[in-house]
Amino acid sequence: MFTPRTPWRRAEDGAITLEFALWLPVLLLWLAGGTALFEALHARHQANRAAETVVDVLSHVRAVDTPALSDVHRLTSTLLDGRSAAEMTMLSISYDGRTHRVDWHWRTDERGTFDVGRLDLSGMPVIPPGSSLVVAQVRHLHRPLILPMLEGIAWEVTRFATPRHVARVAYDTGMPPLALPDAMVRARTAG
Amino acid sequence: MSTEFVLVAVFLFGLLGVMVEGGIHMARSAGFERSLEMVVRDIRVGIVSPDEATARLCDAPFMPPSCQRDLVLEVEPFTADLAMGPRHATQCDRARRRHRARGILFDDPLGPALAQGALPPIRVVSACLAITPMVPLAGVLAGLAPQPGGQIALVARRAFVAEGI
Repeated sequence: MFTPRTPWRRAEDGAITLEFALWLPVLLLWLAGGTALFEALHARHQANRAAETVVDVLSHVRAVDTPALSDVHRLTSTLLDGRSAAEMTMLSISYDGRTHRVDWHWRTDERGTFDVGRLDLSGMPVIPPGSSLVVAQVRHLHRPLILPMLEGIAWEVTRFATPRHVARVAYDTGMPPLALPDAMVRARTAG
Repeated sequence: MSTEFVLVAVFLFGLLGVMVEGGIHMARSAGFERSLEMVVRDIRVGIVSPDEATARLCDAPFMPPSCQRDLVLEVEPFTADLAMGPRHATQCDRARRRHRARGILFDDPLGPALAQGALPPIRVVSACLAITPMVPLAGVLAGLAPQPGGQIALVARRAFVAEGI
């Protein structure tokens, strides 16, 4: 039997529609936010993998040259969805028992001077005297498929490894080694 | 009221379906990446055959029953001009057909490989699987697979130094 809508029913329907209209954007935001968060975390995982792979490759070499380091940078594109790391720094830090030194460094962005003070050495293991570490620092720009406001996120990951076959990976850059202040090493390394 | 519900319900349930599909894809993707890491570790020390590697990748959570048939697993030497492996679902399908035609899934991961200049021989392992989502177009809506087929591509890639044993 047809029941005419009373003013009370119409008000209730209106309230339900209003509630739905309010909830719908929230649901959509949940969906978009969840996907964007997953994408961002996935990008961080990829940056971690890329840095670990790069430092693993560096730890297996005895000497490098500029073309080899460019190839290593190219390798990151196979691990970062076809995009090379936005910025990458590879370097070797040695310790002679008295001072830490940056023996050589290579960066994708060679503009400007290399600032030792900007190195992120958190988590760097202690280097035994007379040995060295190779370091890879990868900066991966996150490019979201949705929520373009997350465009600016960049993941920066640093990984360390001890050379396997030599005490120090050689790279003749023609530049003198850079001193790494011990205070900086102590302040930034674990323990 | 019921007309409104009928109009909105399709959209609402579609949205819920996309959320569920997206969640499953994320869980599947994380498991797939983890499985590939384990498989690469075994490939690296030479204790896994291509069939075992495929089976282990397909043991990841939420993998479809057709995984073992459709999965493409490639191990190839890294060269400076290495073409990018498959990235999208249609490319996974194409790679699968190519592999079936050639009957090759693995090269010899620990076999002799030419070092690239000063670099040691590096192998790249790619795993690719095209999955048809439970909710049609869910992949497209969630931005996971921008191809006309609406399939979702599950792609994971690793590289390692082939040291030999």
